[in-house]
Amino acid sequence: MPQIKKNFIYLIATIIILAMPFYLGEYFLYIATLTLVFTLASFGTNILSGYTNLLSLAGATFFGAGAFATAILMSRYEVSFFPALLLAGFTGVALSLVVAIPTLRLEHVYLAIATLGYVFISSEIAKSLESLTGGSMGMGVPQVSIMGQSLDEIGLFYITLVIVTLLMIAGVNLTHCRFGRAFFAVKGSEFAARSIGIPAPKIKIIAFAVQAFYCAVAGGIYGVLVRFIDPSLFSIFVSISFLSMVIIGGLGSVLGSIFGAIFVIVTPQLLTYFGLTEIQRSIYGLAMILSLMFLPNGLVSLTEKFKFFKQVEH
Amino acid sequence: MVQMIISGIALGAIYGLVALGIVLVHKATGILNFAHGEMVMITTFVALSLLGFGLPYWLAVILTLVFAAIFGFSVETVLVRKLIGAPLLSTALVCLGLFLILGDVAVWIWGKDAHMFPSPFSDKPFSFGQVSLSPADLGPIVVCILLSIGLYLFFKLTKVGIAMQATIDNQTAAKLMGIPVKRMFALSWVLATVVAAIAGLLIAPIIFLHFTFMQSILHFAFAAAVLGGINSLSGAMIGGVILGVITNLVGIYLSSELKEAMPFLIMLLILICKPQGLFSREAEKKV
Repeated sequence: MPQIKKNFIYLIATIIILAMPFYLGEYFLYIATLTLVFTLASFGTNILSGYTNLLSLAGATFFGAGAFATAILMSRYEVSFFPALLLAGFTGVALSLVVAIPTLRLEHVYLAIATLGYVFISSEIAKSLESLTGGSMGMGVPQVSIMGQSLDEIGLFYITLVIVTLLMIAGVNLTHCRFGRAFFAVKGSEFAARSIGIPAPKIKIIAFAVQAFYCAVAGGIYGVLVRFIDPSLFSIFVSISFLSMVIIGGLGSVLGSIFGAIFVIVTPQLLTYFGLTEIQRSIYGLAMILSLMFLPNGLVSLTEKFKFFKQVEH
Repeated sequence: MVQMIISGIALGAIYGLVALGIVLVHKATGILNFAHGEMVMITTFVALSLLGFGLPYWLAVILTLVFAAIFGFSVETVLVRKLIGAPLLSTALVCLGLFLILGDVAVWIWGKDAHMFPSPFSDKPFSFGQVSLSPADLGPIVVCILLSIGLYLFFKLTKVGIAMQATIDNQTAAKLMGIPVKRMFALSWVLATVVAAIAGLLIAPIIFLHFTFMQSILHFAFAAAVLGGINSLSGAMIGGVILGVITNLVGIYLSSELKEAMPFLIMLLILICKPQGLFSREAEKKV
């Protein structure tokens, strides 16, 4: 019986999501795609901060690098979308080594400060590489076309949905395998993890690389969705928004990443829609503080009151 | 050269003051206050508004410091007190949340324009040989030196200062000795915010006052705090000065782009070679 119920919920959710282009207007479809993009970044950040408990503020670095790599490959070298996105993901992974290896020995406070430094430095670099990135003016991003056909918003929504779904499934599997348990072990105690033979430094590097890959791919899709990017992507606000999704949604939970992304993206967009642009940031600043104080396990802990959600989670 | 070194010291000392606030709070409560820069920004804007009402400069300064004390106290009581001892991820994120909120508050109240901010020191230069200096260069240095001496004496001589040090060293022992630990936590936030307000009053005349003006300085201050050791009060000041001088010299002799990157590079170097900082003694981590 529970199995049927669970499948039923999956079915309903799938139909609701797949049918989105038919009942959402253009603007809301854009928001839906944006939410998918940020779900990816949120999930990547959750692997690093929620599962492995490393507080890194470098998310914006990977996100921005992914966006710029995709845009530059597509516009300057005429690479098509999918290879460009994949290369952007690997650019993120390469960058994650630059971030992770020097900071491996650092704990807590120091890691947060050092990764904050990377965000500032990457924005300076993006500004100074004017010939590639267009400097502080930013650059346009070409439209995605597949087999010579350029994609409209609906096409982009489905493509994003497919990419995000595949990567999320891969990520969930990753957290259930040896690596996932090692992430949790390192979170519990690095020393204890080492003493039972878990190579903690390697696990940390992997966690960083996973976050970087997910954030970079999210950045790449974000670029082609918004069609314009500039160095302000390398902003501490972007990093904070990733972390706030994880916190508001629920640390170390897949469903939490999704809830967090929905909250952090949809709330500000709705506020903009109602003409309240000014208070976007403080809304999720406030949501972050309130959820840390009163809902330490995130929005996902609310769903535990409803049995069926709990079944979906497991 | 000498001139650049002195202006480097001046700038570095101010950044050191910002770092001092961060270190003070971290040392006392174990919380890394990402919102420190935004708190500086808010107090400086309050000073600007007070000056806008036509108050004389020094009266405005005193009122600003009073406001800073109340501000620091209320942040501590409302937000921080519940979080002492909580994992770093929670405390840091609460501070980041505060960072976002304060940024928006500043935009609501004071808008997005950049403002000029008056300086108490004249910028009329006087010269020693080839070097020409103005009170505007030297003033911040003097203020920082006086403040450092004041803080040093406070921690060494006054009963409250010693009680605070005891709290920082060992909370449980301090509590057993009858020190009101919670009040000490509040006091450290008050002290940090007041120092921050002074730093803001010194920085704002040099660069324009704007709702984002502290963000690059915060980066600088974190670098200074790491350089000096995140648990060393004097280290924060010295780290700030060293960083200010190096950055200024690099800006002249090497390239201005490298100047922007300098705090980060120095910080990374220190973190790789000596993560506990230059002036901090920290015990090995116990399991």
